[in-house]
Amino acid sequence: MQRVIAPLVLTLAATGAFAHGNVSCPTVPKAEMRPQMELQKKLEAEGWKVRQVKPYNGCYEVYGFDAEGRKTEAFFHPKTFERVHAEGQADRK
Amino acid sequence: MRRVWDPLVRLLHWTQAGAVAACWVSGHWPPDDFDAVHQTAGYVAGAVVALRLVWGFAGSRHARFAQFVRGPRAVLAYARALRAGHEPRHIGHNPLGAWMVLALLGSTATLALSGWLYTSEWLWGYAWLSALHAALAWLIAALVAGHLGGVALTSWRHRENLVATMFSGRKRAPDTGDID
Repeated sequence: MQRVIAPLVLTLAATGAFAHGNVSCPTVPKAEMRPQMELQKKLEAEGWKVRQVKPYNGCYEVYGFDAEGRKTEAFFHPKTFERVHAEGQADRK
Repeated sequence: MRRVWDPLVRLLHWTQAGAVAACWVSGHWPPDDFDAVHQTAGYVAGAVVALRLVWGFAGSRHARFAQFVRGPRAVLAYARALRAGHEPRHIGHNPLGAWMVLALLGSTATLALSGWLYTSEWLWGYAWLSALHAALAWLIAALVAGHLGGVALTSWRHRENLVATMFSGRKRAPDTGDID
């Protein structure tokens, strides 16, 4: 049984790591991270409707609608507020 | 042997087991790569519930809610008998199992609905809905654990493999004292 389980877990873990690597931001010291509210205000000034901001993998993850009104899930650098794109993925609708 | 679970009951049962498992895994996988799998499996789960509800009125004898859903008094009596170790064997669902069926159907329907709403423009992206969706998933995880425990306990108590029964659809014919 363990002979089956161990490789399975390793494979799953490896796949997970790849999936996880899709979006990530460089580690920024906590003190240098700008507040989430600031990002939300900036996006809203640009015409976004923001419904949720939360930290994800060193980025800020934003759910809402972009300036064109499209349903959007996007990632931003927590210090520069630059948009971070998932590897090999176009913008999600 | 007795035919108990008709083919559609069995098909829906195992489809649901697969769909819920697929939803669980894809839902806990970071971050969005499995969204398509998660959503498809969620729609399947919702459709299974809808079909099962219809089949609960139009299906074969032991598939019908009217055959197995009992009131609180019957459920309590069964639970007491179970504690005392002399609960009768049911050919269909026993009264406790019946409520597990309803709880699983109800929570799966709510979970699927909340997931679908989360992708709708109306409720897209709200943290509270995401939290509700996750809480419901954990509720279902607990119910599934209870369901598996109940199946194991009942199988052991009445010396029959109920998992195999859900594949074959057949059960040992009723003995005296069994409830058909």
